[in-house]
Amino acid sequence: MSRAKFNNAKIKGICCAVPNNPISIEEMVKPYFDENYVKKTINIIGAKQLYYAKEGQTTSDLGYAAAEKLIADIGWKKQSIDGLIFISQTPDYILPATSCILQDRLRLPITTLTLDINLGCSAYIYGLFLAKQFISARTCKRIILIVGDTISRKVSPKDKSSVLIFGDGVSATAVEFSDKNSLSSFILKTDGSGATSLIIPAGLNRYPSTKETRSEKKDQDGNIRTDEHIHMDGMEIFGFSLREVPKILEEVIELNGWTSMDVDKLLLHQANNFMLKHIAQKAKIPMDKVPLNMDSFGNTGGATIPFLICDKLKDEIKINKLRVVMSGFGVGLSWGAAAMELSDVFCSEIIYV
Amino acid sequence: MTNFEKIALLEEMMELGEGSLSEETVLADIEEWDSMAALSLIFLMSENFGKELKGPQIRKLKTIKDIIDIMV
Repeated sequence: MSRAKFNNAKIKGICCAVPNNPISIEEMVKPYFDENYVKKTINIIGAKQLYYAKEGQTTSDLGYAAAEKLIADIGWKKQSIDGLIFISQTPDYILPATSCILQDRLRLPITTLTLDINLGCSAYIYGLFLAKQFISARTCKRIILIVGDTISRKVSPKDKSSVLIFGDGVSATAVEFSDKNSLSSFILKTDGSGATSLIIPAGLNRYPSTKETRSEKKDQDGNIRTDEHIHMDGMEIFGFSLREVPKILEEVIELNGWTSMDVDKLLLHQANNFMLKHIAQKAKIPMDKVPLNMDSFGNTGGATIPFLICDKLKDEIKINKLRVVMSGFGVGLSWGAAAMELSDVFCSEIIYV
Repeated sequence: MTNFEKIALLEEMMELGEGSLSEETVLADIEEWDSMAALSLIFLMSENFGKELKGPQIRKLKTIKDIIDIMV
């Protein structure tokens, strides 16, 4: 099993950015769906407002803004940064890697290690794991981890399985060496047999873009999208999450030497509120330990956990020690969980770019 | 679990009053039977019967009796 423990790397600060372009879901889908159905579903899923990238705005534009503010807020000298990890499914180009572009744009030294990774819902857990791994191996001392997407470009407004859920947002997290930090534990898993449950079927190399892949089709549930739009089989994803997430939570809590009683907050990938409540119930973690903020930002893919921290735990983790368990799960299928103590973490105000 | 108890579980799941459903009730006729109710059914089956229900199975369900038959 892929598992790791670290005791010499800590999260120093987090900053999150959304496009300055709020979208009311109810307004957006009015032309396509029954009003009562939409109201009821919004109520259950939880997302009310989303942010959509403006014309010409990319994931790296948001990542750049978040990282620039974060570095200034925590007072890091750029020359002291030696790692930049960018995890996204909506990079700026097929090539070169967006992390290379960000290294230059952020004016980080050329001694910086940069890396692009293609992951979604599980991205933050994998990203923190990698950052801590590089630091623990003394490869790097200070890493900027940028996680997020501008997925709105791939969402069909006529597909209720995605338009009521996904929004844009990007996070930047500073991770650094610390010899007085407490233990953190990670578990990482993959099941590629579920790849088609959450997929953009066409538009790249397997099925290149053609007139056919760009034409709208109606599925058995009445949703309309093209093969170049994101397609989620909600039932499969729900079944997978319900089966795997409670299990990995239990495993990571044990790996960190805790019991579920020790956990102050459970930070779940904000997939949808309905699912999170069922996961928490199955994992026997009371909902007062499970913050939710789907209503404000929707599901921003890999960025939901840092958004949740900046939005809901900002003041608490500046002063107090908070024992948290995080889990990201979804597209891949890829999932992971981490247990750690957060303290003295600086959360910048969420910025609107 | 008796069929009566299973129906009661389904009524509770869809937030319907007692006696709203019978074995003959056609799912397509229930206003509350929608994609979210299908997710609730996945949870109910997992919690109460330790069974993992898949999308294609759910799409084949036509009546309450069809659901009762898999609640074992």
